Amino acid sequence: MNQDRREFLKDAGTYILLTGAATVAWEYVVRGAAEQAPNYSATAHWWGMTIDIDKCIGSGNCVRACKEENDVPDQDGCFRTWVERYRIDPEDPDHPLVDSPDGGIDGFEPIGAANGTMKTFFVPKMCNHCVDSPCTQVCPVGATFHSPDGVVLIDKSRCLGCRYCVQACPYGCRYIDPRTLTADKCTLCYHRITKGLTTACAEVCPTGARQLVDLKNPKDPVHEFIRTHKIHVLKPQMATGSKVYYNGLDGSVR
Amino acid sequence: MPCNTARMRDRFRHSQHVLRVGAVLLLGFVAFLVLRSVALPSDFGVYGFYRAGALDDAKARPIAYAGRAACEPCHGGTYDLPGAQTGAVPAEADPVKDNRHFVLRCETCHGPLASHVGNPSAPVATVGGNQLCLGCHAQLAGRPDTQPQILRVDHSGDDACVDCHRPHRPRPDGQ
Ligand code: HEC
Ligand code: HEC
Ligand code: HEC
Ligand code: HEC
Repeated sequence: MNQDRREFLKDAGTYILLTGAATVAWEYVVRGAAEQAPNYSATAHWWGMTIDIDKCIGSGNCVRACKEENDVPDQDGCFRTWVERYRIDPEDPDHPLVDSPDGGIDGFEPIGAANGTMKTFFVPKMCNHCVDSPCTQVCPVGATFHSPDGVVLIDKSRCLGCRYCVQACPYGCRYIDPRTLTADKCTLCYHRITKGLTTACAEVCPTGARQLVDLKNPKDPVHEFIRTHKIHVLKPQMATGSKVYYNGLDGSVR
Repeated sequence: MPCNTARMRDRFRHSQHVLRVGAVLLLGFVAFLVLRSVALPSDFGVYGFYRAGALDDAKARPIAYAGRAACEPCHGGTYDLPGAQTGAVPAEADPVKDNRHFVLRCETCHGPLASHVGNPSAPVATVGGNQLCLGCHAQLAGRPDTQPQILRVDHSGDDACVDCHRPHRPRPDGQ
């Protein structure tokens, strides 16, 4: 009797394993060979962004332009890009004071003389369009994904609004659109960059602090920029493969 | 020998259980495939674990900011000194580098105007007021020293910035 139970478990295990393997095989049957997928010129690009902290003047133009261009709702917390102001007491660098009134959409308030000894700067933030993005990995229905040109996008018609991705993003770049109750985020202005325009935020940036870059284009100035500047990404310890490269990012920025 | 046959029959009877379980699993798998093919859009998985058409959806959004290059054909010379276009001011008196607003894109101040590019006769919202200038020029903690900054109360009080500065060429006259 014992012997039979063991056998039964062995057989059942094989069947279950086979089911999984068959599913995988089936995927290939359905999809066809890779080279039969329609060719898409997106493979000629690999989009990212550079942000120069030393150039950002905190005007909030990027936040406003993003809302206009992408119809981002006005509700609290719905931002595809926002600007934070850091104030760091040199005596206590571990506890920076950060303010971002309404994401900086109306700029920032001057703060009194107490800042004389403080180190202050602005940090524009946005989706980092990570290569190994935690947010796409957790989506149960394939509603968020990497485009072939390196942009993390959302398929609103498939999104269930389960919010896993909102939680998974270490940079807080996603929100739930209160009108549709689906996840939403920066698309790197996919509708613009695929037509040869730059992103709305980079378009209106008065000082050129933000630059859309194509890492696959050998002529893009980004290669020179990355080589000649001290580049950093946000939360490198998360190994997300962020493609938003900051110049002059202070270590206290989270 | 008979004893042995009985054992064999026993074996066979037991393996029936496995076959039944297998049949149930197979049925489940087939049901899964059917459900899956019904639930998934046909273009799912062409490029990866997502709907290929989602790329076109993302591309389909209308553009709001036309970009500076779109303004040039009709509004070229906006940043020149008044008179430079007609020849009243010699070109060498008007080097672009003297105009530090040359770096600004039109729509940074004028707002999204792609609709205007397609239809120039449509009215364009007026912009201006001191808040526009102060948004980039008010003295502010965090603003780098490279940015020209003023304290409004000391600089101009309640006067309009455009009384002394042209928005497209802000250096005050005579400098
Ligand atoms: C096809 C030609 C054309 C293009 C392209 C164009 N404009 Fe115009 N624009 C006009 C015309 C014509 C007027 C009307 C002038 C008038 O009424 O005096 C106008 C008016 C304006 C006005 C209002 C002027 C006023 O007196 O109130 C602004 C501001 C303006 N354009 C900005 C822009 C910007 C910024 C762009 C680029 C995004 C742009 N235009 C692109 C033709 C164009
Ligand atoms: C620094 C912000 C700023 C930028 C950048 C800017 N404008 Fe203007 N523009 C203004 C303001 C403010 C006025 C209104 C002037 C007034 O009321 O005296 C204006 C007026 C105009 C007018 C009306 C006619 C005139 O000259 O007064 C046109 C046309 C115009 N802008 C086009 C452009 C174009 C084209 C560009 C880009 C090449 C541009 N502007 C960039 C702020 C700006
Ligand atoms: C979107 C941001 C922005 C707005 C709005 C803006 N400016 Fe500027 N302005 C700049 C930048 C950036 C520079 C310096 C560019 C550089 O680094 O050379 C500048 C430079 C200047 C200068 C210095 C010029 C010189 O030659 O030294 C003056 C004066 C000035 N702006 C006045 C104005 C006035 C007046 C307005 C409102 C009509 C205005 N600005 C609106 C961004 C802005
Ligand atoms: C009464 C005339 C007048 C008015 C009004 C005025 N300015 Fe000025 N502004 C000047 C003159 C003259 C200069 C150049 C001398 C200087 O550098 O102080 C100047 C210089 C500047 C500079 C360059 C400062 C630098 O460090 O290079 C900025 C920026 C500026 N103004 C912004 C503004 C803004 C913004 C307003 C509106 C709130 C404004 N101005 C209103 C006369 C004026």
